Amino acid sequence: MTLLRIEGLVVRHGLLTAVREVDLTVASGEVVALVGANGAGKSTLLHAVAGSLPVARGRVLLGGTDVTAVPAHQRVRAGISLVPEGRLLFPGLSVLENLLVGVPARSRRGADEASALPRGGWDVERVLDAFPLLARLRDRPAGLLSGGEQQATAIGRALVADPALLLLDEVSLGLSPAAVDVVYASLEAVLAGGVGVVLVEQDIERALRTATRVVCLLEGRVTRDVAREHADREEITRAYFGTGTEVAS
Amino acid sequence: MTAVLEVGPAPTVQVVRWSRAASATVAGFVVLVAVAAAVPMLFVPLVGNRLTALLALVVLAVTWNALAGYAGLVSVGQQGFFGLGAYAVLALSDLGLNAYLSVPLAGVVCALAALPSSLLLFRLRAGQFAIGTWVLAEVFRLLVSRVPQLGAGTGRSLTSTTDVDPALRQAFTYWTALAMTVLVLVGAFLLLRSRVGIRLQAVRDDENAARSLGVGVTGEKRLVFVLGSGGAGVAGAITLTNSLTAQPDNMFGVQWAALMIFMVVIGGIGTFEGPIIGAVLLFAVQQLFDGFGNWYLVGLGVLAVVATLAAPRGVWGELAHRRGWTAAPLFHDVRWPALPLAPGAAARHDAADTTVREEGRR
Repeated sequence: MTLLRIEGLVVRHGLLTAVREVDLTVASGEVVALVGANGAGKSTLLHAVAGSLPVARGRVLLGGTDVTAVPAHQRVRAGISLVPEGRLLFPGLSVLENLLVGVPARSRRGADEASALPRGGWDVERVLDAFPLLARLRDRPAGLLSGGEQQATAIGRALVADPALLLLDEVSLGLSPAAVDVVYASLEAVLAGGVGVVLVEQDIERALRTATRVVCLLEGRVTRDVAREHADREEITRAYFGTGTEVAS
Repeated sequence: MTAVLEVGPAPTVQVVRWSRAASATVAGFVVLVAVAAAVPMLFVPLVGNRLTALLALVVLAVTWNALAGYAGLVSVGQQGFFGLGAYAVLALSDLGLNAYLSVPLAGVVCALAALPSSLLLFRLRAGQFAIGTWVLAEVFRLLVSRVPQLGAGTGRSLTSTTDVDPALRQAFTYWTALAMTVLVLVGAFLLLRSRVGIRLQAVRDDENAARSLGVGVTGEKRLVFVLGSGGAGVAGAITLTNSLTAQPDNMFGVQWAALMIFMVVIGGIGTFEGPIIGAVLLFAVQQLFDGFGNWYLVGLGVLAVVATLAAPRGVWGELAHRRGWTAAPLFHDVRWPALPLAPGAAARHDAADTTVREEGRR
């Protein structure tokens, strides 16, 4: 089932056009890695899907419903959760309290069931069960966590809303290689639940290992969109840096 | 670290919200209110008069803390609603309403006034918001100063209670203040214990991150601003029924904002218990320096300096931070058999002994 459909999306930062006429679909259970150099428009695209950046032109459809005009906090109810770059935890709250911020209201649960999008069935208890580290750190203020612990908290916090589509922005940024391994291994539990994932990642090797599809962005346009089994590392690298590639759309 | 990655077959973790200490706090609160209710029957009216002033300070501190400490709405204009509450009692009494029944209604009037005010104020951020609220308070003062029926700039007295025996009047005033204080404390506790409380703190820490997690930032802020302003109005209404006179420069004076900030910061901003302690400390200084004129301000200054140096998080804030004390059960914890604690983390309460699950979360 098509979970997310992006049609002709244009996003601007003032005079700069960061995303240009992007078309993209994500199916339930699919993991799409967005790769590209700095400034390619990856994070901007994620924020436009999450509703935290306004769209200049084009549409974002979730489960066939146009959510382009839906504000960010209501898109969470619709089933889109974002793990932002830099984690953006609430430093004055404990790990447990950070998780609880993402818990949907009772009425939202009803809305979620009505939307009938496939979800992983996540809630606080299940997140704490799946991430015992977070249960152990539950009392610790988020501002005192290590980078890896913060990232695990940020992922858990996004999961408690029980999303149909999880957007992960640079989850490995600023983490040690060991911490990145832990974060990616934890994502396997998420992916097993059937949630659709869009992952922004600068590490091509990591993206190729994790994703079911790789989409390359260059200067706001999609230059490659290939299934992992057909992805060629050299080709992806050229698309990443924009050497010897033609813009596909 | 691989244990982190295990996925449990079925949830075994429970989020808990109660503890033995919480039960003790509630029991202590009930006893305290019962004893406090007997004060007019045990002491001379002057004691009731002084304690009514203390109760107004508690209401002011608790409601300002909900705004600034929990939601990050640092308003220095709550004296606008304080004064509006006082004058609402005058106006409602003129309409023939009982002065004591007018006190809660004054809170409703202020909450209703806060709603359209928030539409303007929420366009401002941080320091601009603070200045904007002060401007709003001045607007309220100027508007009230131009109503001759309310005494205009020179003020007037509450006359509807003058035919009541002074001792009985003071008792009614005190009981009204006590009832309103209990209402505000219980209301603030329930609000901050609900999911709104934690979402407000998220908004305080990072509005954009809160929005990306599904928090309706403006709606949550508006809710606490409206309720907090209603609380400030109740404090003003209590003060009027206690002092019996209202004068715009006093009721809308910025000194009330200074006192609110003083009480909350000294007691512990962002804690439920701190503002109550701050109000008691301020009241103690007021009583200690009663009759010494401007030495009262010196006393306040000394207390502020000592408290800032010795307890920068506020009195209760330091106790909570250093000793893990928590009286009001606003916490969240998890109950999980054999749940290990993080190294160095101290158990804040005896949550493992309880099976009370977080209610109303879903």
